[in-house]
Amino acid sequence: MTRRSPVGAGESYPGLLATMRDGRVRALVVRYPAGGD
Amino acid sequence: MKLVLALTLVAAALAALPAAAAAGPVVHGDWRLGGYRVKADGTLGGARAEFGRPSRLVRTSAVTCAAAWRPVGLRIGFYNLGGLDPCGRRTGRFSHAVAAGERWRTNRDLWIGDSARRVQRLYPNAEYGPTARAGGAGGS
Repeated sequence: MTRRSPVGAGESYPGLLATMRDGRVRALVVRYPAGGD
Repeated sequence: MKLVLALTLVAAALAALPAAAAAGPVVHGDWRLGGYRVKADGTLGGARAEFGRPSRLVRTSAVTCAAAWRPVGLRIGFYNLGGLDPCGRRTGRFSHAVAAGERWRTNRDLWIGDSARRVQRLYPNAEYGPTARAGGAGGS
């Protein structure tokens, strides 16, 4: 799921992301654009 | 005889569990993790209300906090850019979450461990890219 960021230059970011390893879903990742990563 | 009794008790206990609890927590897009309504209440307190006390809670910088619920298979990063405690129940705000426990699934029924083919079938409009695009999502 791709979202458009309301901050910055409005880049897209993955709101919901599945990370894969060896062809399998390893984790489900949810991200918000404003954060302290 | 004892084994039969034990199995009967286990079966009865499992039958008593709510269906949702037995099935595990569900990720609904980017707005809800299980019963944790990220957009409506993205505080650390909201996460604690849903998942209980974190098994790990570490302030990772002046503005960031990492929380983990190991039994649930969940890590969440929180932040506060206003100078308040990012590990505070009311002041820690949701940044990102990594759900890696095997009981997690999405509302389209994508489970941890499912194949890439199933991802494509359930999410035909998904974009594919390098893991680096996830940024610091795995860092909490």
